[in-house]
Amino acid sequence: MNGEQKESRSQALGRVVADLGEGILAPSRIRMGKNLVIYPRSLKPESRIEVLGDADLPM
Amino acid sequence: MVASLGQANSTPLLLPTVQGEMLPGFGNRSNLPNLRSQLLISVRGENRAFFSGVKTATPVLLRLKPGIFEPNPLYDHSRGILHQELFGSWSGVIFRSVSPRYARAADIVSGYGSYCAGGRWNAPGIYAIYGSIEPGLAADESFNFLLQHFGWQNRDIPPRMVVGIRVSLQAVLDLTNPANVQTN
Repeated sequence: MNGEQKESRSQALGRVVADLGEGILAPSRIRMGKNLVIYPRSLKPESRIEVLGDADLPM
Repeated sequence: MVASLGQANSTPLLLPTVQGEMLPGFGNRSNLPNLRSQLLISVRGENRAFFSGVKTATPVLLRLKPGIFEPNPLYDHSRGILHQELFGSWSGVIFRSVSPRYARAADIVSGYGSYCAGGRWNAPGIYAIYGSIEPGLAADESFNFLLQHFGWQNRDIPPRMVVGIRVSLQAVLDLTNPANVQTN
């Protein structure tokens, strides 16, 4: 992603969001659909992330 | 497994400094030897297991080669125009495609792989968890990344599994909302 050793525009925007918020909802670049990017170190105390069915995970 | 602010799963090797100029790779040259050693330890040591789907350590090591990352001026510009009012809450289920070899709940939501390698919305040094709203898109994104970014062939694709993650966030910037996106 950073072969040029430069921060891209989207990465810079992500850094701002990590500063001010918790995540970005963005359109997929490969097809119709949405992706959510979460900055886990920016989570607010009341926010939650829970892996579903973790008891069934192979590890 | 529940993660929230201040309850990090592991001690960070490098704390991302999103406030200013110091990020891994954004530092001055006097910091580089230390950064390099920490990053290499993170890859070669116990945390290597976080790199799900990476065939060898080589691609990651290449991306971690420390240099002077040039911060994009859009950061300062965006800091000036983005206000809290633009952020809204978001709740729902997202999906990630992960390797069964590293399918531990803590790893799935650690953001550590993106922290080391970077991604579309994070430079190396910032933890980020990438997920998709649809399970099929999560698989498409994952395989597209492996095929395009690492130059893999279809025959190289290892088994993957799609995991659901329930998310409840308070401050999300919705770039799919036309009102939040300015086009030139």
